[in-house]
Amino acid sequence: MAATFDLLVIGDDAPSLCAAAAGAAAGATTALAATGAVTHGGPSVCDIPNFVWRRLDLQDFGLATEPVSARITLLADGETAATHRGLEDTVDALRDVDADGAALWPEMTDDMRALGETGLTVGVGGCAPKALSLIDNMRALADLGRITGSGAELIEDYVNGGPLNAHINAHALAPFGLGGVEAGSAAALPEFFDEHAWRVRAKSGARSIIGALRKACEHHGVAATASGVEKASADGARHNSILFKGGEKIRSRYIFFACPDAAEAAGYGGAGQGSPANGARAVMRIKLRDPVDPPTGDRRALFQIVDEAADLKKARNAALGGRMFERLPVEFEFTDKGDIVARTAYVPKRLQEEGEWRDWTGQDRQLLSTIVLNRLAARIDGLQDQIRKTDLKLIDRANAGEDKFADARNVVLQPRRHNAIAAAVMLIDKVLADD
Amino acid sequence: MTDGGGQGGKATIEGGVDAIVIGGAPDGLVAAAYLARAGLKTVLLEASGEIGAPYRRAAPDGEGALNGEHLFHALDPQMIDDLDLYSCGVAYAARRMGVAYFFEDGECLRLGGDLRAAAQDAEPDGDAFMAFITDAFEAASFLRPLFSGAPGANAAFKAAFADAPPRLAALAERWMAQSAEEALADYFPDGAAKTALLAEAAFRSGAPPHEAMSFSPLLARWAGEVAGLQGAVAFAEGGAGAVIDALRRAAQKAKVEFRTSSPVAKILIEKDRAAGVELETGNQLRAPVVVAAIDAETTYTRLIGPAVLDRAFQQSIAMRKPAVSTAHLHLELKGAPMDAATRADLARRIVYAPSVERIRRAFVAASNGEVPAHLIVEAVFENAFDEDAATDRQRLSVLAHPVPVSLPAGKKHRKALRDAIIAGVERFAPDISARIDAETLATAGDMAAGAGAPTRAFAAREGVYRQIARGASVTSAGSIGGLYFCGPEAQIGYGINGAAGRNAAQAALRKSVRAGAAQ
Repeated sequence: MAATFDLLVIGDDAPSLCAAAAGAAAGATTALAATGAVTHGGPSVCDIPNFVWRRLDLQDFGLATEPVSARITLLADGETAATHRGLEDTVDALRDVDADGAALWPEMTDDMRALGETGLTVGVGGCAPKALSLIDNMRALADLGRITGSGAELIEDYVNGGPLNAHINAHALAPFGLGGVEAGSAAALPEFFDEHAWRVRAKSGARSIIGALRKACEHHGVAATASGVEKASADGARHNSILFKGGEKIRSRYIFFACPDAAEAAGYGGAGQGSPANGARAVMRIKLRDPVDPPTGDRRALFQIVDEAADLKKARNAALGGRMFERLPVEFEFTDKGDIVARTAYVPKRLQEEGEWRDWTGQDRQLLSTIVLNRLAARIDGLQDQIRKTDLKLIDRANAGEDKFADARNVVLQPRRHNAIAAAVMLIDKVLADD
Repeated sequence: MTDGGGQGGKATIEGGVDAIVIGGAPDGLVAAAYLARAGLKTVLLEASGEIGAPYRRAAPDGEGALNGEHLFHALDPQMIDDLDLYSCGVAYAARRMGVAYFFEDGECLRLGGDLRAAAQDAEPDGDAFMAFITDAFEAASFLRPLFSGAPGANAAFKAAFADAPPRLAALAERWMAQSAEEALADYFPDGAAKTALLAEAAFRSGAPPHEAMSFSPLLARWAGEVAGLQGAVAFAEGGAGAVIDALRRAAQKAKVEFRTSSPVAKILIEKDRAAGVELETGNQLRAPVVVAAIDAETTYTRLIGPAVLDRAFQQSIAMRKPAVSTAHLHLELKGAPMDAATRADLARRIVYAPSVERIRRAFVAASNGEVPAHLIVEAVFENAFDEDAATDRQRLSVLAHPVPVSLPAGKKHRKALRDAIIAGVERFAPDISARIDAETLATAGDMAAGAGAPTRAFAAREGVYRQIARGASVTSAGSIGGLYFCGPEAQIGYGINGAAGRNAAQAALRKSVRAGAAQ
């Protein structure tokens, strides 16, 4: 007889691991299935909030984190903009480069956090829980109007043009592949200002975050299953039957995806939620012969390369139209070993040539690698000479096959979030509480 | 009566009026009719020389109305009853129009006017289509109060939402947030029905079908009722112009006083209350109730001014950077006589539905100010409904979407737009170019110029949630007593509806009754 669980979490990333451990710690019998896909591929993850930390006793598993030192945007012509976790630090940093922005930053932070507390967490292009049930309230309606609008417009309410405008666009919208004009893209802003959206890295010498979270899962009794779901379908009145590629079979009441990347990798057909249709993502790991000096000298910052805010819309339109974009927005960070992990969410799922759609070829991958490397090399002195090896992975590519979860019930998918760990654990709590 | 006085002479102050309605658009006529029927001495002020402009532009042959509203999706049933519009001339030549979808590959999907019945027979997607239509009509019906814009409807809906069956509540919530592509993907892997429904969802919407919340406009449309039928499409005898005429008759019957060529320069605010208006002539017309049936930007920014309105209110009504709009092309066609069978075949709504990719690219191009290569086209052969019409001439009214909100100046851009629309029309009428005898193209800019309004007032509407939020805000009138709003922003969705005018008038009457009782 197949083992039966309350919850099957599918994914290898930090939000999935936290969700699985939290589910198990809350008393649910929990299984975890790896997807075997790179779903993050960088040294930083979004903040692990205190309530998760305490519930899972993460310090017992060697987890020690520190916040990334800054969010930095490398604009065209050598211009930069930076914000920090502390309000005062940001105001100080902005004062010299953008006095108006420095004055408005506290107000915008307060407003966005208040907007985030309304419960109108639209998710970026995803769902709008509570929106309908809050709809009679005038204040909620005004907030709903703002949060369901365009991200670029919401930013312009506070910062009209300039480096800070481009910086907020880049860090708030680019991780989702948004152009800023989409309805609902404004929902990324309150999350971006949420303290749990600030990314953290493992302290130097400490165990990796993923490694520590795996230990936590083991400790709390999360059962590791085979990887690679062959088919999931409803089984009886309450459960799903999940067949893995190796033939292993389990039953589970809920199937939970903490992020769309994991869902896509597992073959869930609804994974398009939360990202613009036809937009894919790419992660590139660049191994170096010798370390290079990071831009601004900050090795533990999170960088975005965006020439100007308007490029996000152009890049998104290019991705939707099946084209590569030369001035590609690229996010990157340095690993403790000195390598670089670069990411972009403005990659076409399929490419279009002479009006016909086609799949990626080796040449296309090479072109994308070249674009990413050129973008990095233009901002990092001496990078071209130090590149030893590059490895490009595409995520969210179109599912060629059938939806493996089409016949399953109680499949829960969290849209892409800035504060993905906090949101995933709260969603797990909600799922278990509703059961 | 018309107001010409004041210019060059001494400005006058006129009293003895209970209510002023600014704007002779359909909702203005509705509001004025309601107020006058309740016994209020009501004056309707229209800036142009004609009531109903720009909804009433003469066709090249001098007949009919070229207003971009050739069909009705939702005409407020309560308004129809209250104003007795059938006796004022509203009649439907077709109450439940069938539709023919044409696709890129030349295939055609013909459906009857009752979508629920038609879905059953739709090949090869019958089962999926039926399941989808059943769910969609149920969800649309459930969400109807939310789309009504009526005061108190949101609170009533919240209560209904709390008590709704969990599946319906979850479906409604999900569909309000999902993209059209996501919503349809749950029912259709692919196929003609899916392409047709995607085109329906994207048509006249500001939201591209791949973006979040782009499915809700279709729900809002299907929540509507025309001629007693939910989700139906109707063609009024005489077109939209005849409906406007009927509204005008209803207002005249109620003794509304019309004053054309009376542009308003200012809404007078005294002690946080509307006190009347000042015309561009300098004359003042004073009344305790002022209803604005023009766009919000003109009402609040130009006629009232930011000094009176708080910043949060101004922010909540702002509508910036609309991305796309709909263009209207009216064609007079010469050609072979129509026999009865041809006429019957043409008496339907005809839609060219490009592929999903083409629609996506069209939205991208239009939002960049370029004319898309493929447009969603909705066409109606207007005289196919008229048995007495000449049989050797046809009038084709075409709406095309999405097109740029503002075309660059110059004939070549208008020609490019015209050619793109004709290319869409040729998908179902290949020989049409040779048969065009006369044509009139109207863009959002043209319609705005006709109304003296900013172009954005005629742009495609944004997501439904934003429309609900903005609608609640604009109708609150910035807490200015005695001021009521029923401009285009007060309505969820597009087309002539009338509910906003009724809501504004009823709100004014409720307040008047309360004020009277208090005195």
